[in-house]
Amino acid sequence: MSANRNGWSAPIAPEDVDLSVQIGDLSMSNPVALASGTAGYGPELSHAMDMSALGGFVTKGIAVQPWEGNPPPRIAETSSGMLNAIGLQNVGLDAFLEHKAPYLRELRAMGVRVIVNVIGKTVDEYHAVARGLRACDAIDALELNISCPNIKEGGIAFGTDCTAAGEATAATVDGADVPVWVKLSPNVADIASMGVACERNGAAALSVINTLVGLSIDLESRRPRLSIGKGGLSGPAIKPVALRMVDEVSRACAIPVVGMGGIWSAQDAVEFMVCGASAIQIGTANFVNPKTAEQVVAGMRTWCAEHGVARISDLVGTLRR
Amino acid sequence: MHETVATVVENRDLGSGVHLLRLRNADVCSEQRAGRFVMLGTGEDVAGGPPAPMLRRPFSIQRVEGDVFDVLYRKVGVGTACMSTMKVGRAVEVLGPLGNAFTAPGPGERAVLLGGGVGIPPMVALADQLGDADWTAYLGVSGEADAGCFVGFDERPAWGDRVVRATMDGSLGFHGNVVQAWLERRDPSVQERVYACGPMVMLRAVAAKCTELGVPAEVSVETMMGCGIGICMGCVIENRSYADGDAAARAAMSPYDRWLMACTKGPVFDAQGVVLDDGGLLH
Repeated sequence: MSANRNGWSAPIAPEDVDLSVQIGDLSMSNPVALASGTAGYGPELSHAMDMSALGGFVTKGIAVQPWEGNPPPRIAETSSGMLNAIGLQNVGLDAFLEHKAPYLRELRAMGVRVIVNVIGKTVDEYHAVARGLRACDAIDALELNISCPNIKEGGIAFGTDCTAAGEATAATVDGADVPVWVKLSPNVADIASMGVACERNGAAALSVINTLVGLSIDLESRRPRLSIGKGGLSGPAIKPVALRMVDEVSRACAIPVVGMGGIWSAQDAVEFMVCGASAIQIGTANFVNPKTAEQVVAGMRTWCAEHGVARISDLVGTLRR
Repeated sequence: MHETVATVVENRDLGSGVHLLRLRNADVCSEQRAGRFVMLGTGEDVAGGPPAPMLRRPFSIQRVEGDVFDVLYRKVGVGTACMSTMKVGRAVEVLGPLGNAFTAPGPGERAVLLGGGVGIPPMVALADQLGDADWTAYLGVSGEADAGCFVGFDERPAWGDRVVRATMDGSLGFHGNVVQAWLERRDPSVQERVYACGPMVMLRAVAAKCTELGVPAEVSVETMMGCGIGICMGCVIENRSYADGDAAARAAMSPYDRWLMACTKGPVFDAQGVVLDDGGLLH
């Protein structure tokens, strides 16, 4: 049967939809992963959702040493979103390997791809975490968080400078024995050039986007609602920004893009893929409905079936202009 | 823990913005222990998008009767304002019960329950759980207009003088705060274990007095909570062994353990174990 005027074929059976995707050499059973910092180290959500439904899981960021994070208040709700300043509180590499890796092994045995998010304050720290994580056999890829302050360069985030981002990427790739994805900061004038810098330095994929820096205040007291003032904005409020950036990065770079930013439904997820994402991550929605990812996977299958899409990967980057 | 939907059975206005919400869900009721809480969706569902308000809100479970559980809330913000309009029959998204629970009093120990304002609900749950055991409760509100907070105890008139009601302005019952009410009736020859929930200023007073008297105390804290299950890491409270520790003590701890998540490590903490300070940012 010929396609309709929007290009969709006749509906097919849901079981005939192939949801698998490929991120470089890494295959995923479906495009849906949980985003770093919104799903702990795994066990936390396993009581509330069927983890085996996931295509991938990205851990809370891991540093060489444990980080204490920021004082409270750390979160504030905003219109269709939330602001957070958790401060990357994390158990550190050693405790991660000892206490968190066993569950990741279980996840992997379920067919879920395990991606470990890596944080650092210097290029050497990024390298050290990547190197240390070689000791864990349960990891499919690393995701580099470059939205961390570079303490050797006056605290400017790695993610806002092409050279620094490239150096952090190269150091992590050098330390790692698995592919390295880089999670880009949206707090830049030209995110595509950041993506290109990371690609040139060995990134296997780009996660787009991290949170947008924002401020929320309590008017009566005229004080910020977060202890450290600014925070990172996430949730549906940032989805249009994220879509725009996925589009820009995916057109500028040859490596795959993993899209995220306010995904709440299967339709949201498919929109990211149409704009150029090969896979997607769900973050803030986990806090509100821990079953979101499971529902998005099921909803993507239904959506594809209704639109006659036999392979979801065929939708990637099919935005009509 | 269940990720489920409960049905509104009753949503009663008790005056001064205080409401009693009664919800039906057998699964949630079956796992309740005094001290635990639920995350409730307060906003209306929007197709394909987030409800407004988006984040669920935490509430202590006050009482379980059959397959119905009660939460007490005060209308203070957008979420609780939405809750106050919930009609009987409305479906409410619920995650819970969550968190730890109060420990049982030891043999020969009298449980002293101290509850302030909308911090009274976990004391209702504990009194229900303790049943005929040795306990007394001291409950405080600012004035008679807030007496709706006492509803869980008012529903059990048979408890009689095991329950002392106090008001700061003296308009009802004992004139003063719950710590003063407790100390006035206290029998120092009886070994006690204190359980408390209320504003931070009250919990600080409880912790200080219990330290002075050498009485063990457990407090249930309220913090700004995003998820209730330890994934957003928003609801932290400071570990006292870190805050009070010297350089050597701190060096012996993982920095990760400075801030404790109230949702998974709590909401019940040893009163000496945490810094009872919310920076004045909670209602």
